[in-house]
Amino acid sequence: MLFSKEDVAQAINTLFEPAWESVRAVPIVKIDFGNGKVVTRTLNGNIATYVCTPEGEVLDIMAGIYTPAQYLANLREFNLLARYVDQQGKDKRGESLKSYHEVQEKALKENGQAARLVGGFRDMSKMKVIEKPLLVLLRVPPPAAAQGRQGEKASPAEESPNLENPDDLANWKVLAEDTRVNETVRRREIHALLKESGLVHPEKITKPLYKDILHADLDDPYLGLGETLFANYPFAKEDRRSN
Amino acid sequence: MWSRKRILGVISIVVIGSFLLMGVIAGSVMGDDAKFDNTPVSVVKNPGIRADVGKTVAIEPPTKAIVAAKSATVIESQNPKVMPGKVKWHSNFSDACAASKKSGKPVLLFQMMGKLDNQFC
Repeated sequence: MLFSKEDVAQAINTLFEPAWESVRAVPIVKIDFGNGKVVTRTLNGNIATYVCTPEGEVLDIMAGIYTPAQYLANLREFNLLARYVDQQGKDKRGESLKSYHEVQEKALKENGQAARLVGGFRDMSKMKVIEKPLLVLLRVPPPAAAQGRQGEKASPAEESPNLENPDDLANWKVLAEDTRVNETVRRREIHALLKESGLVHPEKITKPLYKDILHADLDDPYLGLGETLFANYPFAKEDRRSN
Repeated sequence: MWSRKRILGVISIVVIGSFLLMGVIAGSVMGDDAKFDNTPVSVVKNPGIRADVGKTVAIEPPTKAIVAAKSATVIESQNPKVMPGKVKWHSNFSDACAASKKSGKPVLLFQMMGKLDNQFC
């Protein structure tokens, strides 16, 4: 599990004040094969990680599952974002945040890659590091332009661990692909959502996030699985009535 | 030879039965109207009968304790509790925000379906 990883847990404990909450019960499927073998799995569960101000305002969100490496990289960006939005003062936080989401949405649309927050700029004339380094949001070159460069490091999502077991490797590839989709398609949708919503608390954004971006409508008792469960099932009407 | 569990079970039944019998007898002494009256019997109203105020304090607890201690174990949940990773989670979002105001660190809110401290989540 992600939070059992030493580096992820340490980063969260060091950089954030963390809390978790359940948005609803997760569907659990249990198949009893009748020979003593029972398989239990969750179905259609989904997750989201928010970074918020001390006042509880949402700054950014990661939705869906991630490789540990990419999750860690994003956590570090989130920590920088919390400083970035207050650089011009707390009263300008809303403006800074909106601008951030606009830049990110555009970067993902045009480059397929998010802009990054960088900081630690020195006062070159006096060769002195500014106590609170200025953070700047930089657009990274599109992937095609980077291909020709030698020694270009793969993005955290692309770095694969050394896995010899074919099942582990297959699972890793699925996770890596999920991460890629979450980092591109979903992050772009999230930036569009947060650009419009402004500074809001999580409860205002949770339902639209799950319904429109994660495609898991929290108000649907079957979490979008109704069609799959009941189509062509001869006793569907009875089931629905009894539920 | 009877097992200890069986012996204690029989004793519990006898004790409970005795109390029920006492209740029936007390009810018949109080009269028809009082049988359906849930309010404690007033000493002033029925000076010969002691008020039934010690029932929940003195009479029931020992019986309940015996039954609870010797009953079959409750079947464990199908979704057992586990440690929610190595992160030091605050109890809730509000507590995390309060801590954030003191520490200056931003809040990280992890949302999920199911519970992080359940095996299947």
